[in-house]
Amino acid sequence: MEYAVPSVDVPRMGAVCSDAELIQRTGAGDKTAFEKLYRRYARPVFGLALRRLGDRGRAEDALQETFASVWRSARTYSPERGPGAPWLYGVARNAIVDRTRARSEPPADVPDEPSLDAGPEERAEGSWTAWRVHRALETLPEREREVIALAYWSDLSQSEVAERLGIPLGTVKTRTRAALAHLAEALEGELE
Amino acid sequence: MTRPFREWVDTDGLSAEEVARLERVHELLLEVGPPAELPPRLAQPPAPAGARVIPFPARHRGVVALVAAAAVAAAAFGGGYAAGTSHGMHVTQVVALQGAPAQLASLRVGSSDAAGNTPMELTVKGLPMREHGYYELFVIEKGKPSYPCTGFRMTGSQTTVRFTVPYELRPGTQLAVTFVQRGKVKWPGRIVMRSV
Repeated sequence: MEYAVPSVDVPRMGAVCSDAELIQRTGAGDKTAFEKLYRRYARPVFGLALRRLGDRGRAEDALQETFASVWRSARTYSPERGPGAPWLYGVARNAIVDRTRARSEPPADVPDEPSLDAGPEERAEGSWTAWRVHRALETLPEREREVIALAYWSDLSQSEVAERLGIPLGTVKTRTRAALAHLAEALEGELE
Repeated sequence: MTRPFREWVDTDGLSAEEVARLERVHELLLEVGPPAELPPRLAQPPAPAGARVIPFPARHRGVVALVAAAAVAAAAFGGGYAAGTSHGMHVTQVVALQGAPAQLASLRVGSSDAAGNTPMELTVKGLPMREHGYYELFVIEKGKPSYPCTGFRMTGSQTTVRFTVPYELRPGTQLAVTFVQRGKVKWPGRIVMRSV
């Protein structure tokens, strides 16, 4: 069957296009869909890799390998087996595991005391949550995303955020609330 | 700095259920922290070289994709998939390799001499120039890089190296390019390209 990208579909390549659809289009050789996936997921993939590998160089390698794998294997994706985000997460995780195995450094000594750090299951769950939240952030309008970034991850007070952005304090609060509502919508199922 | 939800978010006019939803998002944002900043060079998506619509029936997909990819790689470097001549070498086969979408390579294999030396010419496009490491071409055996062919560094966006190996390359042999990073990725390195 011949696959072609009809011109009428181009406007649908905006925010409403699902991950599954983009993966399928990528599998059919649609580079616009691939680029869209990259823009959506590059930061979550890089963040996940950085969190797991703790090294920017290897995280960059993992990011590149992830999207090389996406390009190579997108045609194997089947939406009947699940949504696109977990599939992409799996591809990224495999690329990161490969980077982990590629390390030549000897493993660290086994500590005498039990570690208080999160165990593998907790880490995996935390990684998946961060993946979802960071992916959801990419769906926000830019003006909401910048308010969230400054309000939550800088040392600025809300008044200072307002000053930094040159907007009234009330607008900062309005945008924060709107952004949280949008994120809640995007994270449906994550909020139990 | 602490971020008490009630002070941070205006909840006037919201139902208790909606307030609880927003508060959970508020907690999640504090829990997961900021997303990582992409290095500038990775901010833009890689251009998928050779990405195009290739109509073919599903049962022939692998074969057609192989031929198409080989043709794309060969065409990208001004060569041909069929036998020809390159720098005085009689080319008997061309193997295409692909990594990330913009990363392609074409290996031209020449005729072996009486002693069994086989000349080859590898042209690689799109791999990053790396200061602390090098690339290496391998023959894949049992899914792993086994027989080294040659090592090289990228000198620009496209690099060509010529070398000989003391064996013949059977048609269909799988090849891979690995990256070996000193002190971080041990030999034979991690695979960055595979034959298609």
